Order: sequence, then C-alpha cells, then structure tokens
Amino acid sequence: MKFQINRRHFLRGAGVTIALPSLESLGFRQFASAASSRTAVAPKRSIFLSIGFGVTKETWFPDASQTGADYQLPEGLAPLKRHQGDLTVVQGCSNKFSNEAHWGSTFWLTGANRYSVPGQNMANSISADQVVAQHIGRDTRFASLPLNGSDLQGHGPGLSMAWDQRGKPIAGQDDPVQVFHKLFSAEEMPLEQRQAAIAENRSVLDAILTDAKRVERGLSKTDTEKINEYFQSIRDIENRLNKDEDWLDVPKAKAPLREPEPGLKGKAEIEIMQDLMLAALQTDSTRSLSYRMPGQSLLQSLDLKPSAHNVSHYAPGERMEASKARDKAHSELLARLIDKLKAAREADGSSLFDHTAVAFGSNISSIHYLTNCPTILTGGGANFKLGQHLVLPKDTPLCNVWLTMLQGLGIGIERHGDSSGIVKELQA
Amino acid sequence: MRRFSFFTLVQLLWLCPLVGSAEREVRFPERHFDFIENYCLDCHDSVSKKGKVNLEEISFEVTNIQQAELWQKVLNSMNAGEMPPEDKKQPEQHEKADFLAALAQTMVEARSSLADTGGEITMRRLNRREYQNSIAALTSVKVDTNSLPADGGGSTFDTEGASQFISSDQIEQYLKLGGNAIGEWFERRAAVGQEVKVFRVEPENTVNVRNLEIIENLENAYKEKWLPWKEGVDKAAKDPANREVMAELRKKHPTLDTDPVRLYQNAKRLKGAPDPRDYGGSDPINAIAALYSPYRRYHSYMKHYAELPHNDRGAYLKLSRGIQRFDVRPDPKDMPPGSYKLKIRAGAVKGSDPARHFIEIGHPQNLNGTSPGFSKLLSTQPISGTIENPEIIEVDVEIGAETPRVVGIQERQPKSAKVIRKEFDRHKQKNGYGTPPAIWVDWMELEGPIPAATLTESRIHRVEPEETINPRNDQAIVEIEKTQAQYTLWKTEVDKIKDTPENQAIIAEIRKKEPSIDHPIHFYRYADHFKGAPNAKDFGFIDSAKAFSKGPTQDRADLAYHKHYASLPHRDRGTYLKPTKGIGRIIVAPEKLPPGSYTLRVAAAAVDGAPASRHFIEVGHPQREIEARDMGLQGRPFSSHQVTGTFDDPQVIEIPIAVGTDTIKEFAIQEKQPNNGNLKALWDTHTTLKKKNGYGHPPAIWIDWVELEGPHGAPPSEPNRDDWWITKADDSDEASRARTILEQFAFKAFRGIEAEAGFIDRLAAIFETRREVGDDFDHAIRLPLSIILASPGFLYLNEPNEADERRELTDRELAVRLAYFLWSAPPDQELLDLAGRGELSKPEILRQQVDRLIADSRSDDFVAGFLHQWLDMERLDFFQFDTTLHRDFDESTRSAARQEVYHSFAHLLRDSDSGRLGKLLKSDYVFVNGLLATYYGIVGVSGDEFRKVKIPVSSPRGGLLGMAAIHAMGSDGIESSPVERGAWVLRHLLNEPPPPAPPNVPQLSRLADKPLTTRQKLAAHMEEAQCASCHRKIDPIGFGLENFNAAGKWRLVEGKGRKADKIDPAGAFHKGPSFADYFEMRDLIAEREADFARGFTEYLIGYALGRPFGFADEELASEITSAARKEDYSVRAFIQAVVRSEQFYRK
Repeated sequence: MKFQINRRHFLRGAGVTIALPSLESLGFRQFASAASSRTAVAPKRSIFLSIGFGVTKETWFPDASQTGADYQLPEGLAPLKRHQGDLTVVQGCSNKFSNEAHWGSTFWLTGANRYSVPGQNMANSISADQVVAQHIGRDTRFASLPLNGSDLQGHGPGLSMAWDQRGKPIAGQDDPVQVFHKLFSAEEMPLEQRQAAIAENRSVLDAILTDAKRVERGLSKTDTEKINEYFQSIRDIENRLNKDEDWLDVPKAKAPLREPEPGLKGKAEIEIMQDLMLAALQTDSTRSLSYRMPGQSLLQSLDLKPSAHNVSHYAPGERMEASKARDKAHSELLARLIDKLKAAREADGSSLFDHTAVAFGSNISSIHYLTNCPTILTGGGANFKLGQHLVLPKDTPLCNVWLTMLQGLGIGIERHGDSSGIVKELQA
Repeated sequence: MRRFSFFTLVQLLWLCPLVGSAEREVRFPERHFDFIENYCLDCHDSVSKKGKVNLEEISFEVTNIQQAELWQKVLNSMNAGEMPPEDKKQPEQHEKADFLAALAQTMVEARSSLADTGGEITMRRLNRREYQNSIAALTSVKVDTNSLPADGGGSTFDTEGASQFISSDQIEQYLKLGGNAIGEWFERRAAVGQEVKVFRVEPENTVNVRNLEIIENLENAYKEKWLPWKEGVDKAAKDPANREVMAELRKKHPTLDTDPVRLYQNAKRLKGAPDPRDYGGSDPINAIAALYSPYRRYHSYMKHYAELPHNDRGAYLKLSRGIQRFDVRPDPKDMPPGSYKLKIRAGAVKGSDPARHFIEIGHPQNLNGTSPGFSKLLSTQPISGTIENPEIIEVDVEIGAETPRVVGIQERQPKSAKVIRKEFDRHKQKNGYGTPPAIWVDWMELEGPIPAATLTESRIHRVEPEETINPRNDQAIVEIEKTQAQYTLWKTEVDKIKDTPENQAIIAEIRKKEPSIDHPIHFYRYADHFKGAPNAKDFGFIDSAKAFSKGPTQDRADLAYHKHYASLPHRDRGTYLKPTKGIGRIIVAPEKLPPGSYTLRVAAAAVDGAPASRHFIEVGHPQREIEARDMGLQGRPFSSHQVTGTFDDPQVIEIPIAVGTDTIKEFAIQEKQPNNGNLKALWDTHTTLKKKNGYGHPPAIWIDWVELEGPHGAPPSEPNRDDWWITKADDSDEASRARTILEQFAFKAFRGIEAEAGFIDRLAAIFETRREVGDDFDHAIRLPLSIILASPGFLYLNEPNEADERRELTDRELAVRLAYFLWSAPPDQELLDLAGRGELSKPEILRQQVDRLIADSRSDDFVAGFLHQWLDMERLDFFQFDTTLHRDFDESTRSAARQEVYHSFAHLLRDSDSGRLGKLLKSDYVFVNGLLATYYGIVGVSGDEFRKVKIPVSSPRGGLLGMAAIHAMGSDGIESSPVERGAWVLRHLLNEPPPPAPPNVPQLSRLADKPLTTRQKLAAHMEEAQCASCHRKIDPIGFGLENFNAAGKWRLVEGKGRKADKIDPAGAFHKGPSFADYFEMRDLIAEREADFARGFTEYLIGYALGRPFGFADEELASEITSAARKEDYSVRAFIQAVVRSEQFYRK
C-alpha cells in the first residue's frame, strides 16, 4: 500500500517540478565543446551576475586615461584589489536598442530591440547564458540554472535573466532552499516508478496536444502563431522529459554544503546563492548560471535606508553614500566568489576559476544612463585576457563582449544579438 | 538639396494586414526642418554623413521601424546632450525644448502606429485573474496564482493577447494548479455534511497564563540569579585586592560608577568575583543580557498588564514584548478546506488613542511560534465596543488546501519593529512601564466549515421593539428622574447659602452685567460664583452653568413626553414612533448581509386621533455616527408608506430592498418628517403642543414588529458548481461514468464547447492506467480533470476565423467576451442560455445583460482589474513607506486607500442616476471606512465597511486628486514626487500623456546636495532644454499637489522645525491658466471632463477589446464619448457604448 501512496505523491509532484528547459538540438552538437563529464578535461562554465540598477559613476569606473594592466582601482572596486590581476574591467559598451531606464537585466544578455515585432508590446531574443546552455549545457543534469534575488527592482521584465531561442522568458528560482533540493536532494522513489511517472507525463502531453490541435483548426494567421507558442512549450516539456529519462539512472550529486537556512535576505542571501552556484559547478550539475541579484534587501541588510530606486537616482549626500556603499558590497561579494572559485579544485589540480567565465554588470550604467554598461569579466573559462582595464570605443555593442565570451567558451557561433564582431583586445 | 522621401499608402499596408486603413499618418511637423538645417546638416548631410548619419534624406513621415530608429537616434543624442557638439553652433534653450518636445511626441505616435494591429484582436489566454475566477466557477476553489508569471505591465493591459506569452514552465504550473484545485474540490466535497466545529480561545487561560510565566521567569532570573551574582561582584569590587583593577577600569570607563553595567561586563577581571556560570549566564555579557536587561526593560510593563482589571475574563493585546499576537490554532486535521468564520469579542480601553482601535487579522508568519507579525494580512477591523460592552467582530476566513490552519489577531501596527520600540521607550519614560493597552479581547472563535448554502441562505432578522426600544425608553426615564433628583439636592444646597450678605453682594455684582440672574431658573447658572456653594461635580454636573438646565420645572429633557409615551396601552407588544426627541426610529442592523434582494416588513397601526397627515412612515438608512443615530436618517428616505392598520389588526407593509456590495447594511423606520429634514420645525411644533397638552406630540404610529428577510432567490454565486460530477448511483458502469464526468467537465471548462472524442479517449486512458495500479475512482479521475484545466480549450479564448474578412461573433462567443470583460470570469448559465437561444445579440437583451453583469458583485473584479492597470496603481506597492515619517500609513491604510479608489469608481459604475465620470475629478463626497476616515480626520465614521460620506466644500478630499492612494503612488515612500504626480495627472486625467522618461539625459549635478526645497531642485529642470521639453508641462501640476505629503496627508509646510518651508502650490499649466493653490488647480482640472472622458475611453477600449488602442479606433472612441456625453458622462453609458460597438462583437 505504501507503494501506491508514494507513487501518487510523486505523480502529483512530477508535473510540478519546475523544468529547466533543455533546448537541446542535434544541430548544435557538432559545435559542442570537447568538455564533457566523461572526458578528463575539466568542462567550461559560465556565470552571469546582474545587479539591476547600475553603479556610482563617479567612484566605480576606473579613470579612462589609465588603461591596460597598470591602472588604479577606484573606490567602488577597491575590495577586488587582491584579484586585480585576474579580472578585466571593460568600458564603452552598450546595447543600442535599450530604451528602458529601469530594465537592468531584460536585454543585458540579449541586446534585443523591444519593438522589433510590430504589434507586440515586448520582444526579446536569446540570452547569452542560454546559448551556453544550448551548447555546453546538454551534458549536465541541468542545462542551465537561472537564479533570482528575493527582490528584483531595477532588473526589468522577465522571469530570470534567461530568455529562450524564441525570446520567451525562462523561469528562475529565488529560494536558496529550493535550489539546494533541486540540485542535491536524492530521489526517494524506485527507478521503475519514476519511469512510470515519465510515461504518464508523456500521456498528459499527448492528451493536451489533442486538444491543442482542435483549437488550432480554423484560426487566423495571427492566432495560429499564438497557439504555436503553446505547441512549442509542449515540445520544450517533451525535451525535458527526454532529458529526465537520460538522467533517470544517474543519482544526483552529493551536496558539498548543508541545506541553507530559510528566509535569508540581502547580503546573506547573495552569499548563500554564491555558495550554491559554486556547489552546482563543483558537482557539474550545470554549466550555465545566471543570477539577478537582489537590490532592495541588500541595501537593507547594509542598514541603508533609501530605496533601491532612490539610490539609483543618487545625488551627493545620503543617497550617493548609499550608492557607494552598495557598490562596495557588490565588489566584496564578487571578490568572495572569486576566492571560492580559486579555492575549488578540479580533478586535475587546476581550479574551478580556471575553467569558469564570469561576467558581472548591468544594462544600466548609473542613474538613467544606458551607455557604458558597467562590465567586469573574470575567470579563465573564456580565454579572456585578464588583468586589464579596457576602454573600448563609445557604444561598442555589448553583444561583442558576449560573442567574444561565447567563442572563448568554445561555442562556434558568429553572431549574438546585435553584435558586429568580437573584441580582439579581450582575447588572451 | 532637400529631398524628402514620402511613403505612399501602399507601403503602409503590410502593417495592417486585415484592415488596411491606417488613415492617420505620423508626421514630424515640417516646421522643424529649419532646426535640422541650422544645427545638424553641416555634418549630417548626404555628403559628410558624419557618424554614418544622413539627415538630409530623413523622412518626416514615420512609417517603418528603420525610420523610427533613425529619429530615435536623433532624439537620444540630443537628450544626452551630445548633439549638436559643443564646438558647433548651439540652439536657443526654448528652440531646443520645442524641437525635443515635438520629436518625443512624434516618437510616441510612431511607436503606437507601428504597433497598430489595424483593429485585429489577437487570440488571448486567460490572465491570472481570469484563470483564478474560471477555476473557481468550476470548483469553488480559489487557487493561488502567484506562481504564474504576471500578465500585462509596461503600459499593457493583462487582457492583450498579442503581448501575452506562454512557456513550458507555465504549462507545468497550470497542471500543478489545476491538480491543486481538483484535489481541494474533493477535500471540500468530503467535508460537506461534516459537523461545524467551533474552536474557542479564552485568552485569560492561554495568553495571560503564559504572560505570568514570563513574569515569573523574569523575576526568577533577576532575583535568584542576577542579584546574588551582582552582590558577589559588588563585594569583589570593594575588595582592596581589586583596587588596582578598579582604578584601571575607572580610567577606561569614566561612567563605571554611574553605569553599573560597565562594571559587571568586566566582572571577570575582578579577583574573587563569582563565576556567572554558576548563576546561569555563560559569561558576564550574557548574564547581563539574559538576567538583567530583559527585567529592566519590560518587567514593569508585563507586570502592569498583568495587574490590569478584567484579566480574569480576557486579555489585553500588547504592541511590544510578551505575547503580542493571539492565535487560534486548531489541529489541522480538524480543519478541512472551506469557509470559516472568525469571531472576536473585544473592546477598546477607555481613554486610549482612538487611532489604535483597530485589530489586524491574518495568518502568522511563524506558524509554530508566537513571534509577532503575519505572513498574510487578511483583514483590518475597527474596535468600537468597550471592555464593559464589547462587540463581536466577524471575519470570513477562506481555508484552502494550502492555507495555514492558524489564524491570529494583533493590534494594528507598522511592519517596522523599530518604530514600535521607539514608541515603547517614549511611553516608558513618561509612565514607567511602556506602551499602554488599547484593546482588550474577551474571546476568539473560529467556526467552520460553514456549508456554502448557509452563507447566502435566506434569513429573517426580526426586531420586536417592545424588547429593544421600550426598555431603552424606560431606562431613559429613570436616568432623567435621577438627574432631576440630583438637581433638586444641589439646588437645595444652593438655596441654603444664596441669601448670605456676602453672596447677595456677589449677586448684585453679577446683575450689573447679567440681568438674567433674576430669572427664577437662570439664577442657578451663576451658583458657582457664590461663596460656600456646593460643588456641582459632586452631584454629577460639570458646573453650575450645565446644572441649571436640568431642573424638572422647565422639562428640557422632555420627561413628561417620555412618560406619556410609556403610559400608553399596547406597549407590551409594540412601540410608538416618536416624531421628535428621544428614540424616534426602529433600526434593523443585521450582522451580515450578503448582496441580493431583500424584503423589509413593518407591522404598523395608525393611532386614532392623530391628524391623517401624520399616518405615514418612511424608510431609509440610519445615521452612522453613534451620537446621531436617534436624529433622523442618513440622506433621503428611499420610500414612504401610509399606515392604515389598527392595534388589533396591524397592517404589514412590505418594502423591497436591493443590497449591493456598497449599500449601507442598516435600515431605519421613522415617522415621516418634513421633506427638508428640518428638525427645528418639528421641535417648534413640539413646544407649541407641549404648552397645550403638557407633553408635546401625541403618538400617531404604533409599530408591532419589523423584519428583514433575504437574500431572495438565487444567490449571486453560481448555484450549481458541481453539476459536472455524477455519483455512483447515476451510472453503475465505471468507465462510462468516468467518461461522462470528463465530458461534462470539459464542456463546462471550455465554456460551452464539446471536447473531441479523441481528447476524452486519452484522458480516459490515463484514468484507466491509474485504476490499474490501484487508485480508487475518486483519485484516478483527478489527473485527467486537471489536464482539462491546462488544455488550450480552457486556457484560450479562441474565436476561429479563417476568412480574410472580419466576422461577427457567435452569441456564445459574445457571452464569453462580455463575461470576461465585466467579470473577469466565465459566463454564467443565464448568459449561456440567452446565447443558446440566439437572443444575446439583440440590442435590448444585451443592454439588460450589461446592466445585470454590472450590478452583480462579480464586476468588482472588473473594477479592480481595470483601475489597477488604467491608473498604474502597481506603483502603490512599489515602496516600503518609511514608518518613522509616515507612522500611520501602514499596510492596513495602504489597502484601505486602494479600496477607496475602487469603491469610488464602483459607485459611479453602479449608480445609474449620478454615475458621472467627472466625479472622479472632483466630488463633494468620499468613500471611506472607519480606518481611512480616521486617517483623513473625518469624524463620525466607524466600521470596516466603505460608505459614501459627504465632505465640506473646504476639504481637499473628494475625487482622485484627494485620495491618499494617488499621492502615495506619486512618492517614493519618503518624499512626495511632483514629477511622478504631474506626469500621472497628464497621463490619466488630462489625456496629454508625456513621452516616457528618456534614458541618458544628463543629471543635474550642479545641485550637489545643497539644502534646496523640492521646488528649487526641480526649478533646475527648466534650465536644460532636454528637461524643460517635458517638465514644463509636468512640474507645475506636481507642485500644485505638494500640499499632500508622500502618504497623502494634507500639509502646509515641507520639512520640519527650522528647516520647514512653507509650501507654495501656485503655478500655471504650460501655456494655460494659472492657479493660486491646489483648490483652484483641481477646479481647472475638473473643468476638463471631456479630455478625461476621452482618455478613459481609450483605455477602456484597450482593456475591453484586448488590444492596444490604435489609430483605427479614433472614430470608435469618438462614438463612445459622444454617446456617453448624451447621458451626462455616466460611467455605465461608456460601458454600454463599448459593448454596443461593432468592434466588440467582431473577430
């Protein structure tokens, strides 16, 4: 009898588990990197960290006249001092279509034009982390792991930083406890029950599809496109089921950290998310991570009174001081992540840092400026030339940086978003 | 040289595939060419093409995205201050501002034109609200839709199909939520017929006991651990062996002897000092924190509360320390999902701050512990009873499968514990213990699950006046006689001393100024001046001036009148209505009245001898203020009736009454009064009559009883939500029974469309598989049912159309569109039946149905959904209000402020006589409940229910501009934002939407942190052309509203103390009239009702049709506004006109 209860319990849960879309496509396999859990070479990974509202212009950007390796870290970046040789600060980039002064993450990784589809209030295109997921995410249990902060002011629309091939938003997770369980909680159910559950989920999709075909009949052209979104979503679930099936007999990785405390906010929340990201990479559960960091709760945890939006509209005084304190906290947190990436060892003795590409920044520069997006690149995963301050010509497409990074990760694409080429200076 | 490419209409057509008639062109006015020629073409001509920008051939008509992008580039670079470059010729500020304003406006129009769908309505899916309501219509279960992505936003209504998306995550959520709903439906079903349980909490047995334990622990720690340890430390400190250490400590801590904590912190350093571990502290610091500080901080507070009276039968809510929230926590097993009622018997503490007389009800944030606060606030209720005479508050609590099974109450409070602690300290300094109590709770009860039928079951509320009014009258007589007796005693004492020579001299002195002292009664008014006069207070009078009028001689209290009425016959079974003075009307005030139709019955008799003109009763709402309840009606009576019955055969008068969601749910019957409501006329007659007959008005009407019955007929909710389910008895063959259930459920879920056999086959197969592995019938059918709720037939409002031409909707499709428009819910049986008979599209029927849908409480969802989006009310939740600055703008007030907006609109929507849209710009009333009235400083409104309250002409309230919600939206939780407010007024009231805030405009860094007023800071907007182009329109309006602070309270100065600046609201609309203050500005705005109506119409079209308002709709908008104008811009007329329009019933 126990068997039945368990099974039902699982079935109820099975349709529920938040799917990470696996946008697996055979067509891309030829481009996939050599990295794979089955080879001895450590795989490449990427992390995208977005801070929503930008930075304090006056104290965050290094002096544009000091470029190259020999440059003074400004106040806002000072906590990164110990890693100065291992990171590159890039100035001059922006997404030329961006027009929304409160949308720090929506187009950050996509470079899309919101109005590119007539009649549609909002259009987007694939985000860089999802390109990584498509190409090097297929070998891991989770193609990507989009994460969110507990508050998201300044990040703009979207369910996470991730946007799929069709420019549709991909859900992210904002609860560290749930992320922990998703990554590491073992399946309690016997294999055959899980197989049965997958089979049942397929029947569910078949049933839904039957009705979708009825509805599709007789629709106008525009409406047919609308229902096609539904069909595509069903196909995405099918792909996920296929992937679930592939991983059925592979137990989840053992957790390298303890289950997080519930309800962490602000700085503590960012730290635990960093630890979870690290754990996800260490266990090779995923190779593509993105995280929209919390803003309001970070300020609160730093005992700063003004709201995140107000801080972004800083003027000298309380708000500007808050803005600077927030920048400093961001840099401290980034330095902490780099410490941990450097400390984590791969099988061959190299560090996780050597195989991971990290991008930190926002589509918003500061206040309501969308030009000169703050950008820090670090990690050895994308073959970046690190340890320099790079000032690119004004309005260089930010997507050029992403393209350089994606190619550096071994992904053979020629274009991303509105890219016009790669940034040669970034290549080691 | 000038060569403009003008596009032909043909090239435009691809944008408008179905209609092909975008008649309005978007054109940047050509007069601006000179500006381009003067300042741009030197570099950006066809030869130089600097930066690859050639403006020489730019098209002034914007017809495609490429052109729009080029213009946008021009706009962006000028906004950023990059163009023209510094070393080139610069335009004048005003010239640049005009150019930028025009270009920004052109870009807005171009966006809208390029996005124009030519009237095509894209198929849409249910948005969150509709999804929730649609599932509730099938299962009565309210699913939590927070896990679904939010719809709309970014100036898009959540009803717009083209901007909706769907993803695999979402489909999985639909499956999950559908599964939850079906699961809960079974749980609720199983709970039907279960006995209704009552969980009662007597806080004297729980909270008080626990509080005593806390006190005991505090005392034990302090007396038995802290004091002995302290004594040991003190002893060691005096020990000569420690002299050196002490000297060192004194040097380091100059306050060592005055602040003893310093000493004990350092106890470790003293030789011979006792080890804190022996006394229960792990180290000295811990000993202070655990044994001493809590005692010092709140022992006196806990003790004070413990020693208050009435603790034996109830408990006081605390704002700080100890148990602050009272919970009812039944065993979850005993609480199946369903509707519950929480009853709280509570009273306010006499003399406490009325602003504190509110309790919050919610689900605790920490389900296991007693830490204060809620994870979900359910309701805020006023406390109007007293400890001696507590009232019972009733709140409905809906328990779903996932709802926590704990419900708690606490005193209304801000989220910030800091503010509460500060208040505590402030009080403690004054009274020695801390925040005084404000609310006392006798008991709490959670009752349920209450069968659905009883919630709307028709009931009779009967009032027998001999049991209510007569005893109160008798009591009044006793009290008057008592007062008169006291007066006589007092007067006797005065008489004893009045004749002394000393007092005669005093009297003579007073006489010089007050000759009335010689009047036999007025004389006593001056008694307090007499030497040796009795203290009026000892006799129950405030002073002699008040006492003098209480004598029996004059009968100012009308004792004779009351006695006469009390002496009349038939008083054992009824009462006489008094036309003047005393309790003159019978009030029916049931505890709860669901909306619906009711019958009020009055059994009355006409008293012989009274003039025929007095044989009338009238019915209306009683006054709301407690003091005024015996003084006439609230507003006009809604009916009057002649009384012809006799004592032996009372006539039963029946009065139909419709109760809506915002009807005052109290009714009063009184003798008909003069039409002008002038009580003075009545009182004069009374005095005249009194001179003749010794008592005044003789009785004219006798009332046996009054009763209110209802609601009648079908309750507003769907009568039969479970009709898709069949029980075993209906069909013994299991497979066919399952199939029938699935077919019926799908038919209902798909809003009257049959599912295909192939679909049902697959669902049935899933059912079979589950049966085979051992699920019972009721469990095996759940997944197939929830699949239906994730299928496109349920999720999409599909209206097939393969033809190139637009077609008319079928009646069924029209029913669906109409119901989702006005209810955000699926059509009910009546709509579907009308559609089935092909009658719905008949104009007269359609008009009636719109009226019916509006009258139904389900249209509250339209009101909330539409207003929230139309008025950008999501901003209301953007900010955490700084509770130190805006102490009483807490979550309860925020929610009430939002409700004010909704109620004000709902009133206009449902009131066919005076539903004028312009009332939203200015009105002489507000919709408030007790909480919001307190916030606005309006007196005499109590209770949780929102009602219309008249306000004086001098009030800044009334209309949207007077509402706290609107001002709170135009702030950041700390300060007001004139820019946000001004832009909002332009966008929503004046229909002159400013372009969106451009990115990359240089910050006004010149103003670096100077102590400037908001106005001074913003004056700088006018210096830069990039700013001025929009802000010259926005800012003056925003400043006109500066008398409202960030939380919408009226103020005269900005800042505090010496930094305070007087607010100067004067200004002028850009190129428009000037105003001296807020009131003048509001009047000017109110005059622009036609603009307001136009803007409202455009939004309404977008919401109703599910696509952005486009150029193709210009004519439609004009039709609607002119139709509405004919009906005095009544809100209902707009709705009717939208539904009547061709667009509304076309695919």
